[in-house]
This record gives sequence, structure tokens and C-alpha cells, in this order.
Amino acid sequence: MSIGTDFAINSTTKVISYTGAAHGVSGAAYYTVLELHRWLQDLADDAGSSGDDFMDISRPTPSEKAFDTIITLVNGYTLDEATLAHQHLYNGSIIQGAAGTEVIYDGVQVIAGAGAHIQVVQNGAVVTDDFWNTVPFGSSNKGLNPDVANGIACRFMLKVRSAGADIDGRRLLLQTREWGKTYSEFKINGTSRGVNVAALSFADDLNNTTASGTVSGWSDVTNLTAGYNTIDVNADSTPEPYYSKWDRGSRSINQFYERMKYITRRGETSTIYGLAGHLFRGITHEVAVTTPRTGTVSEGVACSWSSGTGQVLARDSGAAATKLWIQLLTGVAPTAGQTITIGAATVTAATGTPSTERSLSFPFCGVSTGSAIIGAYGFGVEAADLSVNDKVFDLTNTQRNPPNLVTFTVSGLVSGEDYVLVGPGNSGALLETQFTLNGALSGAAVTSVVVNEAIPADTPATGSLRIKRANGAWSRHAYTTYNAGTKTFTIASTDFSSNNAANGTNAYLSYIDALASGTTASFQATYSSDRELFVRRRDGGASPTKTFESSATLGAAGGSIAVQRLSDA
Amino acid sequence: MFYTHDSTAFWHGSLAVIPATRGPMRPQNYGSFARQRLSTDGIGSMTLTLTNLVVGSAIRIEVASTGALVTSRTAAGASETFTLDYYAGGNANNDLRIKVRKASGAPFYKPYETQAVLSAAAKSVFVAQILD
Repeated sequence: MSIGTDFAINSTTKVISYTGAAHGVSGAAYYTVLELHRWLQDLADDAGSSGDDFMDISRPTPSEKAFDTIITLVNGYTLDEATLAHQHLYNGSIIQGAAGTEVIYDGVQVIAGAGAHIQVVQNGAVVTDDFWNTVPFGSSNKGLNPDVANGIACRFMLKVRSAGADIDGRRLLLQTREWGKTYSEFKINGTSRGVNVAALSFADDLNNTTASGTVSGWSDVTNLTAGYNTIDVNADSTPEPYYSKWDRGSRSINQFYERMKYITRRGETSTIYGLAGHLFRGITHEVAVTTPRTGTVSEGVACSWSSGTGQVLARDSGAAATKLWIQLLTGVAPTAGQTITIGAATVTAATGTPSTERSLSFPFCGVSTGSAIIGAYGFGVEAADLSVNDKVFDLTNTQRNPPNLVTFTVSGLVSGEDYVLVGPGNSGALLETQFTLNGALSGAAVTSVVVNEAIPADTPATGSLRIKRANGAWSRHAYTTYNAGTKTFTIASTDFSSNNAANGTNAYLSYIDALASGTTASFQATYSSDRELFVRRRDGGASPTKTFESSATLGAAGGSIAVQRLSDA
Repeated sequence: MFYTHDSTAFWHGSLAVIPATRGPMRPQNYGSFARQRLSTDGIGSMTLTLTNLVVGSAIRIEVASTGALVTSRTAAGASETFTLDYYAGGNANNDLRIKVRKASGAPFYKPYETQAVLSAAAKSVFVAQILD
């Protein structure tokens, strides 16, 4: 097999055609651009032409070499795209055509695991003729012109300039999005002449082992809010902004991660924020915008400005947007003063440097550890679906950690017979002096209980208090909320006008304070530090049992205790 | 029959007409002839020398305006001498294109091309081939 056999030069048109076997077929041949140049020059010093290669010393010079990887076809010689001549050349660039009409093919070399399927996005669209992914005849792996020993998955040329104009600034985005494999991308911000190297990841994803057919059915994973919204992930009463609010349904966090990979895998055309899944990347830029504005900015729609296009994933306001979060599709991000058009609405990019580039994650949701997720920039999940080991980043790029919600469980109960009290413990005893009242409770409709001590951080959001009354009894009062700043519990309206509670009287949290309605009773709290609890169970009913008392610990993993029921009959 | 007419003599290649002033002429025992040149014929030969050649280079000398081959050879040495016809001034055949190419085996050279205008005087052309 020689290049002279696989290529031909037309006598009159000066077109250099590929005449060899097609991709993937026995005999399909590929040559470096240097080999093409050498062959042309070898013919050019011959006394006369032969065969279908009309080139000899009587004809104009066909090619020039700047470097071994940059070849220019001169004097009107061109590659024949109709015969896919350019697809059978690699390891450099070919430049051809007169000034103002030139065509340039630049070389691409992919560093990735053998067999990687490479998806190329050019000018905002996936390149459909992905010939470089062909399985060469006799090989078991995809990838033309690999060099396995040097970690090269494939090498090819891609047209980046046509009719004298760069195709989207010669920008290329290479992606790997194969099921069961790690996702990755490499952006070439304008190819250079020669070989452009793209490093991608293509390895087994140990957190993506479920069959795709199974994951395809996980439609209970939904995005509750596709656009700007706030979620109080860290339970500090101050919600943070995100561009999504995913509900993982009945799936584990890692299954949720797999579903996110599924909806953005290669070939997925169902849309996310108006973009085909295989094109969706997440927020690439945060853009500050200002007046003049017109109309109402929508989310999940296309936007454009004089130097590029994008898709709006979120905005902080429809009619008075000050920020847009976009995925850049073509061109470059907006610069100061540019008018950004979003459907019928327009906004103006702010002064200075309005666009801030944001880091992407692959897949777009973030990384899975197998049991937790480290979220991508702005990626929102409803708070109830997150656990203490998850991490998310809101649209201010601040890491938010869900609280460590732990559960303490009392087991071994008999429903309807056992009354359980779990309160703060102190050296094995019930700490009745946990709080002292700041102000007497003496009104007829008291709804607030203010204490002098700081309300502990591990206090459940709702629960009950025991307050010592004037007659020495400890009355139970459910609280619906509390304010740590003002040290105030909100209770249902209660008449304290008789048998009041004096200023300075003690009170304590009763974490479980109820007649058992099942074999277990539990409460949930945000873990702060280990807490000693006091557990008391009594049943003085028809089948009385001796009082059970014990201390227990609410730890970082929660806690539990199984009560004893010794007959007292 | 004799005619009274001017006589014609060729002298060193020049035509001279001797006017009739005597009686009838009669042939003498000498004459000279010279072949007429066409305007497209060369008017002489000159020597063109190409120097600094890379041995093994293909050489083609052609008429610049038409590409018609004048001569070609492979350089056997660093200097090659050609004996070429030159033409009357203004003749396009005096304007030659000289091509020198060596790319069939290492070391490879970029194609070299220059032009020369022939005249009676010998001409030497320095060929600057650049490694490719």
C-alpha cells in the first residue's frame, strides 16, 4: 500500500483525490500531511507523469512545507472533499486556496484511553460525520490513527476555516460521554496550525455501573425548578440561589448521579433547559447585566449578542435582571456594553468585565463519591434529598454543606402503654435546669417562651418543652419554631394566668415526650456535638412494668436505646 | 538572348547590385550563397551554466511564456553547462524558466525556480536550493 496508490492528481483541475478503500474497510489508508507533501514533491521532480498522478517537473509546484506538520497546497492544488481526501490525512494541517477563499484543515490529536468515542462540538453543534471514531479494519477499538503506546486514542484533521472565514473562531469542544465511563471535555479555543492536542478521560466510572436500560426508567428523578430558585441547603434560615432544584425521587444519591449522566450521554437529544442533552454542559458564564433593558427575560431559551450565542439557564429577575447565568454556545462571552437579546427581551452587559467564567463539572451535576455528591457550580438539589456528606455550590460559588441530621431512636416499646421521656442528661440524671425563664409566664394567652441560655444548635426544629409551674409540676408545651437569636420558643397559646411560671423558673427540652404509638419512638436533630440524653420509660397501666431509666448519647451517627420492660405486677 | 540588367554579387554575405554600365554581362566563375534565417531561428549559441547544484537534482529549462521544453537533465555535478540557442532581441524564446527540483530521496529540497534572459554573452546562474 503506498500513497501513490491511494491518491490521484487530476491533470486539469489540480484536485488531489483519495482513491483507496473506505473507512473501516480492508485497505483503508491514512497518511500524515508530511507524507502527502513528500509524495507530491517526489512526483514533482520526475521528468514525466505516470498513472493517475499528473505531476512532474513541467507542472507548477504543488505544495510547500513550513514545518513537518504544516503543509500548504499552492498553485491551485486542492484536496478533494468529495472523496474524503482530508479524512485520510492526519498529524498536521493542510492549507489551500487563494487569499480570501482559503480552506484550512487543522490537526487534532486526542490523548485518551484506547477506544474512546470522541464527540466534537463545532459552532454549537455536534459534528455528525465523526469518521475519527471508526473502528479501523482489524482493530477492536474505535479511533483512527491511534498510537496506543503513547496514549493517543486517535488523530485526524478537521476543517476549521472555509471560504476564507474561520468556523466559529476555529473553536472546538471535544467530549467523552460514554455510558459507564468517565465523562470529560477539552476545549480548544481556536486551533493552531499543526497538531492540536486534546486530553480527555475515558476510564471506567466505578460509580456508574447500572445498566443504561435500567436508568432510563428512573423518571421519578425530576427537576422541580429549571431556573433561578433558592434552597436552604445548610438550614441556616437563609436560602441560597441555584439554577435547578432536582428531586432524586426514590433513588439514592449515586443513582441520582447516574440519572444525570444518562440524560446527558452521547446521543441524547431530549432537552435540558432547551438544549439537547448531549450538548448540555451547565453554566459556563455568569454575566452581569444592566440597563437599558426591554421585556422580560426567560430561562431555558437562546440568547445572542454581537460576538456570540448562548442559552440562558437562570436569571435573577425577569423584568429587572442584574445577572444571567448562561451556557456559551458559540463565539465569546459578552463584553461590556453589548446588547444581549433573549427572545423579545434585551439587556445590556454591564461595564468593566461583565462575564465571569465558571468551572464546569463532568457530568454537569458534579462528582459522585458513591455515597455523596460534590455538586457543580449552581447545581441545586432539594434540601431533603441531601445528607451531611453532600456538598453543593450555590450561584455565589459558596460551598454549602447540608446539616448532619441524625436520629435518636427508642425501641422495644409497647404502643399505647409506654410513655417515653427523652430529655437532656447530666451525669446519668435528667437535666431539669437546662434553661431558666427570662420573664415570668403569667398571661392568659402566652405564645412565646424566652429563656436566658443559648438554645443549643442540636435543638430539633419542632419539639416540646417542659416548664416548671408554680405548683412544682412540669407542664409539657409543644413548640413549633424557635429563634436562636432571641432565645425564644413559639408555643401554642397557653393560659399561664393561674399556676404561672415565675421568672427564672427552670425548663428543659423534652426530645421525646409522648405515649408510644408504635414499637419505636424517635426524634431528629442536627448534630453539633455529642449530647448526653436521659431516657425514661414507664407503664403503670393494666400490665405495669418497672420504670426504665438510662442515659444515652446522641452522636454524629445519631443514637438508639432499647428499653427494658420488667413486669411490676 | 541576352538581357541588359544589373548584375548581382554576394560579398561576405552582403547583397550588392552592380548597375549596368557596359555591355551585356556574362557569368563569371564565382558565386556565393548564404542560407536565409527565419525570424524564429536562433541567431547564435550561448553558454548557460548552473552552479551550486545538488547532485541528483532534476533540471528543466523551458520557455517562460509557453512552458515549452528547451532542455532537461539530471545534475551529475554541482555545475552543469548548457549550450543554448539565443534569438534576436525581443524574441520570447530568449526568456527562459529554470526549474531545479530534488525530492525523491533524502535530503529533500524545496523546488527552486528562476528565470534567465539569453543573449550572446555566457551566463551563469547560482542555484540556491533550500532544504525542505
